[in-house]
Amino acid sequence: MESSLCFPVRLEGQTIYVLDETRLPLEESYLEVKSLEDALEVLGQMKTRAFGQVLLFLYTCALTGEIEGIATAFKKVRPTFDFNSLAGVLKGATQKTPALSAAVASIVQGLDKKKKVRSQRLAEILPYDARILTICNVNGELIYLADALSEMGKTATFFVSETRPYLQGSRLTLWELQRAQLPVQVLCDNQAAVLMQQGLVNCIVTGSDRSTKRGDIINKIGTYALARLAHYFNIPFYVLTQFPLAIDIEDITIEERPPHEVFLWLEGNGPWPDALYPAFDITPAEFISGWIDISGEVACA
Amino acid sequence: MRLSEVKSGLLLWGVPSYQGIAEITKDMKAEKGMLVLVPEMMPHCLGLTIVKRLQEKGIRCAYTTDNMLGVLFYKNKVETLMFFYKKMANHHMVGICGSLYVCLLAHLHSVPIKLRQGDTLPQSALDTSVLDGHLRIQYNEMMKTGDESIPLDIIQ
Repeated sequence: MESSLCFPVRLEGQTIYVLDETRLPLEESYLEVKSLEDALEVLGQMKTRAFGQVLLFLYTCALTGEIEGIATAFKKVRPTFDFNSLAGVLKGATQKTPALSAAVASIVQGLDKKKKVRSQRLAEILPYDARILTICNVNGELIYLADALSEMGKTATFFVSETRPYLQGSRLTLWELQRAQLPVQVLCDNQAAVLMQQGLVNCIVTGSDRSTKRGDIINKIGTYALARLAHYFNIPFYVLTQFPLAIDIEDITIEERPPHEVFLWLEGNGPWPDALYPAFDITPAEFISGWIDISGEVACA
Repeated sequence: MRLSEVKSGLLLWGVPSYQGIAEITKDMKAEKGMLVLVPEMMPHCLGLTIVKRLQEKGIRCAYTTDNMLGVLFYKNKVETLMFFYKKMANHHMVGICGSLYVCLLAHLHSVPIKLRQGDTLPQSALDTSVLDGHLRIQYNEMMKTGDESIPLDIIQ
């Protein structure tokens, strides 16, 4: 069963339909985007993120007929993600397929195939009884992973860190895994150490928003702690990557969200205390066991 | 508050006793500008109650979610962890849910851990909205939460 999070954004005619991820799991509703301004609003409010923002970028380019200006505008709103590299991929595709919308379609189709291949590669290195701890949400790729494991005669059990404050783990990943009837449990982010200590998990799998050739990654806040703890408990930590660059990870801007968003999901209207909200963290390569690139290439430490 | 505005803070974990709060107040007077980092401490959002108590005493606080602790250690924003434990048993310190997570992160980043006897909050003071606040999703598949034991070699 494919999750609607596999393709949370689609283009129909002159309208982009964006799955409102902030409404999940209570409601599966779509927002209409007809202009760059609409797209930036949806992006800024985190109605979509991760693979959704990749699709939103590509379709906004197709809609407006622009690439570089769109990349600049998107990067202002979500500074950590590498929209410039994505723009480069799109420009490269237009060399072969000059019509922008056709080039976008070919990239999107290719990305889905690549995600399936990437899941197969990861499945090959996971244990037979994979007890997988994950954080945030990788847009349906864990379902591809479970399918790939099953085809190899392996089993998968998932443990999902709730991923505060936006709860991508408990609202999105738990929801899509349950709909796919896969065994899954949700945990408080702070329970990860106990889970590892008790041997309940034997591997960690996460996505990454950015990665470098050296192997450092940037991913959802909380990823670094999981990697450090997994390293301490000798549990392998695998990362799904795309477009690794030969840059210093510390040079990448880490987005900090408005502090009031820390309390979005809590009851009451405040006043709330002063809060910190770095949206991502850096995990150095030395705490990562393996990288599975979007091209399907596997590198192990 | 931006992360760059935090020079170095005292990270608190567990429920501070009145003596503990008095100690933090004294430390703050001695070190002007000291910031107390108060994590959410799920599943009961203890941090929200504790931050109110500290602010009433004039203590400057910054609230974080539990999964932000890693980046605070990574960026050297934690000078000391003040761990309010519940009890000591069999060469282990017993603390609230998440105690192993925070103590191990402190240990791995060579951050000193100050041990203090903690308090308990009355059941009525606990935010039982737990995982998702106002959404109130029915979680049938939630890991059981409870107190955690931390081996002394991690703390020392």
